[in-house]
Amino acid sequence: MAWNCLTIFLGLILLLLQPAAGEEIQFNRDIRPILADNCFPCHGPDSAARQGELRLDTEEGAFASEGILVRGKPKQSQLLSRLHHTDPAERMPPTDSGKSLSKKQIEKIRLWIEQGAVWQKHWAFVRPVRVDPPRHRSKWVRNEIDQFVLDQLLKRNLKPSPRATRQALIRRLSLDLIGLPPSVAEVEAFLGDDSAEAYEKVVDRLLESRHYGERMAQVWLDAARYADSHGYSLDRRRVMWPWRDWVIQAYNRNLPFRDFSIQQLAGDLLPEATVEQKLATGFNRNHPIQSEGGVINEEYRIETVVDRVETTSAVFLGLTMGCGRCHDHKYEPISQREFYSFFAFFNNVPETAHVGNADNQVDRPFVRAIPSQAQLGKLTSRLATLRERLANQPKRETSMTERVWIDDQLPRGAVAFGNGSGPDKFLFVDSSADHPVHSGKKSSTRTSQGLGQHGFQGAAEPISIPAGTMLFAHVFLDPRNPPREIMLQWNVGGSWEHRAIWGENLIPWGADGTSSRFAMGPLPEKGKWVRLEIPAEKVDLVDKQVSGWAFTQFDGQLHWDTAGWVSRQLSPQEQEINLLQGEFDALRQKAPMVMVMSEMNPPRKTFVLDRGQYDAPTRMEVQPGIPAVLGKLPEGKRPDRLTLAEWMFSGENPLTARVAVNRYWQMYFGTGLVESAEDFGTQGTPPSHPRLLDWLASEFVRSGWDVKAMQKKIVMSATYQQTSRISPSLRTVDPDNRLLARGSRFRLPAEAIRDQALFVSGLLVPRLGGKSVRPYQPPGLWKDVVYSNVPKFKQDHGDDLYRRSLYTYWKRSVPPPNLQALDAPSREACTLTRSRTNTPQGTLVLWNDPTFVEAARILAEKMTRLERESEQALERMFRSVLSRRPNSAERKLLIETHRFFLAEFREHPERAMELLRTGEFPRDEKLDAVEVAALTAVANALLGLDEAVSRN
Amino acid sequence: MNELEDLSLMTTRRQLLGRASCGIGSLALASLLNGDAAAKDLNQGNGRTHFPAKAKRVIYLFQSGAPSQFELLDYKPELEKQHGKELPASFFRGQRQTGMTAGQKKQVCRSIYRFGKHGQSGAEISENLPYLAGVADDICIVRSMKTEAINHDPAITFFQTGFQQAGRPSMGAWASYGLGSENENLPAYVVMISEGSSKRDSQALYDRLWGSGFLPSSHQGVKFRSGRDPVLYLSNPGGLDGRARKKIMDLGNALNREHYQSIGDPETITRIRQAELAYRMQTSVPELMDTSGETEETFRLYGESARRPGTYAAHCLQARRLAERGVRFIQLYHRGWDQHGDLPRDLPLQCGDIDQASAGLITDLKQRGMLDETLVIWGGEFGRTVYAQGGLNMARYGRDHHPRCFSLWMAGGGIRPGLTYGKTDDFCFDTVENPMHVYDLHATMLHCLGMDHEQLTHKFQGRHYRLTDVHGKVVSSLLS
Repeated sequence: MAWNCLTIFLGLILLLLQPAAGEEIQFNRDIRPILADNCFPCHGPDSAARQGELRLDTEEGAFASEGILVRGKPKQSQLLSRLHHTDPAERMPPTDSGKSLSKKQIEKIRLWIEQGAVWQKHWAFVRPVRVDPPRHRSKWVRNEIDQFVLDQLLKRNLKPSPRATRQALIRRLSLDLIGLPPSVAEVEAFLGDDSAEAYEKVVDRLLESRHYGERMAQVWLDAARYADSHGYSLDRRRVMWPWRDWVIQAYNRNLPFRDFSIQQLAGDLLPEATVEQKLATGFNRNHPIQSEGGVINEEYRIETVVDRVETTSAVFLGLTMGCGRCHDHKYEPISQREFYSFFAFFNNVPETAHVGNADNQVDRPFVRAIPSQAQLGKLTSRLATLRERLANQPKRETSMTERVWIDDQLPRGAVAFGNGSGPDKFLFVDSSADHPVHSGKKSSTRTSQGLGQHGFQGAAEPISIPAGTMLFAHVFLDPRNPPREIMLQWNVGGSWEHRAIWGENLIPWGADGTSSRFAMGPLPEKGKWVRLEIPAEKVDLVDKQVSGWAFTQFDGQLHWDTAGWVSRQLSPQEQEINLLQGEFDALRQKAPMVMVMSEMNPPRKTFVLDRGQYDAPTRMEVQPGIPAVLGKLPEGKRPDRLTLAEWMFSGENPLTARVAVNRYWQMYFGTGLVESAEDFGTQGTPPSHPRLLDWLASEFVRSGWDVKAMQKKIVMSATYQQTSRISPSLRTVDPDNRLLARGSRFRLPAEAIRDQALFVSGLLVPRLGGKSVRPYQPPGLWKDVVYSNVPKFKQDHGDDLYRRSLYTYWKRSVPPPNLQALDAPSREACTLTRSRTNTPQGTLVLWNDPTFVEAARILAEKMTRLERESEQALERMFRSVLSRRPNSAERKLLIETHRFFLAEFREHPERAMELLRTGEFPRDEKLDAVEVAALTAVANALLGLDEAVSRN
Repeated sequence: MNELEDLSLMTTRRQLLGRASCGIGSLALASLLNGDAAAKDLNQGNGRTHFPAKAKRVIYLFQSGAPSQFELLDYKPELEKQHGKELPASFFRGQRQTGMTAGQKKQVCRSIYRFGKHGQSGAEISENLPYLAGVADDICIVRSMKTEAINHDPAITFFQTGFQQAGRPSMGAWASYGLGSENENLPAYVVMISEGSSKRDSQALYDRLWGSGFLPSSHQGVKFRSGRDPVLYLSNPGGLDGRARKKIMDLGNALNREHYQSIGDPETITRIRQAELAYRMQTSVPELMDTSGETEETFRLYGESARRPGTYAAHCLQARRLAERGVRFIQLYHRGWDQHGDLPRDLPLQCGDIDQASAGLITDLKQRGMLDETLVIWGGEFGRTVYAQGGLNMARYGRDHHPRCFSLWMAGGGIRPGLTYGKTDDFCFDTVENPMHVYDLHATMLHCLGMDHEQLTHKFQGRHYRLTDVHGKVVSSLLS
């Protein structure tokens, strides 16, 4: 903690936070936080760190030895006497711990003991109990939420604030529910609707809008650490956007939160899982993946599994389990062993935790997110018919034909590479004393220490492999320095999982005994050209289209030459089948490969890792399970991810419903009922309205986890509809609005600020989903930092400049800079609460980012077209941005500034033209440049107003 | 749950302090460029440290890719005799190796460069760094650095944040968090990146390396770049000059004040202040970046390349200018030090980039009486192996990554000059005297800034986090 914060807040704390005199001390509220912060590190759940065999995080522990705590007798309680012991050596906490208790805290403990030292289990680990809302007769109350809130206010002699204006309400609702402001027409319609249901109609309309799913997804993408790049050092492009689109669609079709979550955690394990259900499990494959050349895969596989534990426990349980990785948790009742039991659920994915240095690489396992089922369906049935007909024909004797694919040069379109030890290219050499050649004028060569290879992918005309094909290549091993192992690899649709090996088993790729690593026998004879022949069946290439070939070795020097395939002459019918198959493959290849979860069989064993080190497994094997404090998984069920996910949504789990509704609350009030939305543990903040939280949680469960209904419940409350005006007295009494005596007011998320500018100008392209786009960003940002051979930023054009911000390409090492300046996270790890800073960097984005200047320009054009008089244009512009009319003072300011710029640009028309050249959207040549430029300047101010970038 | 009902007003001390440090409200503390009055009182260089600080600021000259200690700062004459010998597996005592050389023969490789003794202290420095040799008595060489990681990403992330995985605050963010800014018109933490002259691929850098992690994002490093916008989005769009920008800002501020009258949220006032600050930065930052007023003598110190924007030398000169203006943590990254091969070609090029300018910076700071209050640190993320990667071809040799020992140097701000600290064995495989872990460097650096690394903490997700995690000790023999 920054020590300097303490002083200025002390006054405030005293003012606000003391329990009223004579009030009863409550363990959970008053005592546990003190013990947790100061005592648990040495007297808490961590058995290894525990001192003096004293444990203060459980009732049994605290009362285990006599004299530590004596109910009703503070003077006899050692716990108290040690806190203000005169001898510093005896005093607790020890000076070197850096912790100390204030007099007030010690007094609280004294009072608590005096009042009987009543213990309470940590609130969040006790199942919520549905209580009836208090019954206050008040016209203000609109639903149950208000009863709970009003109850608190009345206890503090406070009153709720009046309802916000209609203009403010529709703007608030629209930004909250779909992340876009209302149009001027929508505001007018709402103002003109006198019916009692006017407000509810707006709510229903917004919940049915397809933009609702985008708004909800924006929050979920932070939680799921979604990004369009792999992260770590190379940070190249990945394709996970079909998963992102699944999320948007799931929200839009109001998939119950239970199904939404179970499918994301364990969709692959559902009976007869569909592609969509498998796709949903991309949730736990959104983590970063390494691609640096020298890494040890197991190290990063462990990091990946830990990431899944941390993300899953924070998102669904509101627990920070990470500390249990290295030792028993210092604060939460989670032992190291329990951490690894939870870890075991996610430790069973057949992944490598490493991707290659090329764009759009995927790690196993993955699914193809099928593009058009209809199209594929047609092809599939046509292929089936043709194949059946062929099978029924008598077999013809056909001659075999040999075709050479690689000799002196690579096939057309091939993209060559060389990596590992040796030259970083596909090195062809001319025939000489040093360089034997088998045919033609050249062969390719490589000398490696350890692993090295060259090859190519992306041949323009992939080769079709019918059954019975024999692949071949010629190799010459240097007798003085022969390799220890050689390998051939073929690429099918981006995958290299087709390999044959000769010699020792040293190259780490593929699984022994499968087509991903088929052993052909010992190394061929050295010092002469040897023809290697590989039956296509052995490497799973029959009926496949091969578009790449790699030559790999471990140690030594060799030459490769003349490679190709021998196959039957195809009948016209077979040729047609191949053509169709190619079309089918191409379609499927266009379908992006998306990383998902699946289970290994037999399962990988999980051991407790000493100090959390990947290379230090202990002998302690664990089975998948949940921490005992949360209860038990149902008996008789296989303890796997599906069972875990179903348990989360059973009545047994105290946390998931609370954690979920709390995050919804955070969307509408800026802060959750539990402020530490990611931490419901003993170190988290207690809920401001515990009974309301529990009521909402039980209501959520009762509704069948109906997400839209929960959003509606919250926004229909009178609490939500209060004005956000802050009276001086409220500012003093409750500056953070924890009591909810007013509507909340906070800065919009980065995405909404940009989307709003695009929307009000009319630039927004409201298309849903699809691959991520790269709108404007300052030049050279990627180049400054990325690994040299990684592609640089290439800006998109046209529609892709104007898509909603959640479709912006998210590169973890260089996140979109304009969104980042407004607190968008890097997505390297799960984020459940964003900070909301107010910095000059943010201001500069709103002023100068071409996105915002262009939006101002197009907004100005639109206003000029709609209104002939500039005063009307200014007024309409103000309404478009802020959803209300300007008052007279505001109107005067607008007009005065506009006049200034009219004069300015009349005098310097070249400046007007220059301003109107910002952004790629074509200028409306029919409009007067000076007039539009002057309005643009005013619009630039409006789009950055505090009122515009906040939800009020 | 009745008993919990009254909690709504029972915000704990921790919670309020947490709020304050999160800078969410109007009283953003210790914050970057925060014009807020409360923050100003607390943080504008009022010396609120744990104990008196020796250094007011840090200039960290980070050499990305990991320069080889064998060819620069750690002289190993024994290697002349051992050259070409193969190291048995037992030699490595369990040290893991990267996937790049794990499978190859390990042949000892000598350095092809000469070392000399320099200054009164007799510091051993290679012929690649003649200018550094000239300031040998002003610097302290540490030869016994140790780290955990063997690959670039985790190692550099560890160096910058004290943790190998992404998510923790960087050391500059910690400094900003702890000490705030001394200049309300400039960020507390500035980063500049230069490209090396070596022909090898440069390793990647990431925003997280100067990120704020779970600290308020206002503490993240602000990247200063060469070219039109030294700070992102700094310059106005074409057609709008400073006067026009002022007019637009005035309109915005006036409308914001109107809004404040009706809503009463102090955040609105903060936004007005931030706008004014942004406007001032539009003048102050370009003025800072404009070195045309520097004397010929100064350019002679840093070298001719200091005239070319974006070079390491230009950044060293900028670093001094930032230091003069009270920026708390100035971090340069120079790329291109990953000599797996072609070291004889590339290492001299890299040294050419940095040698004169680094030494020039020391001299310049000293001449201006600023060296005492400025801690300068130069070094990479790990060391390199005693064995050659690939073959033992002395015209094209290179070295793989090595974590157990490597060298860096420090100067000024509370560090003893003329000292060579720590010793490594004849193969520079491990330290034999005074090992200094990255955590120790962090602890010592914070100590020089007047902060106790065990007390500079931030609570996040239920835990008090430190830059040094649960490790680190101040290396007192380095202190002057």
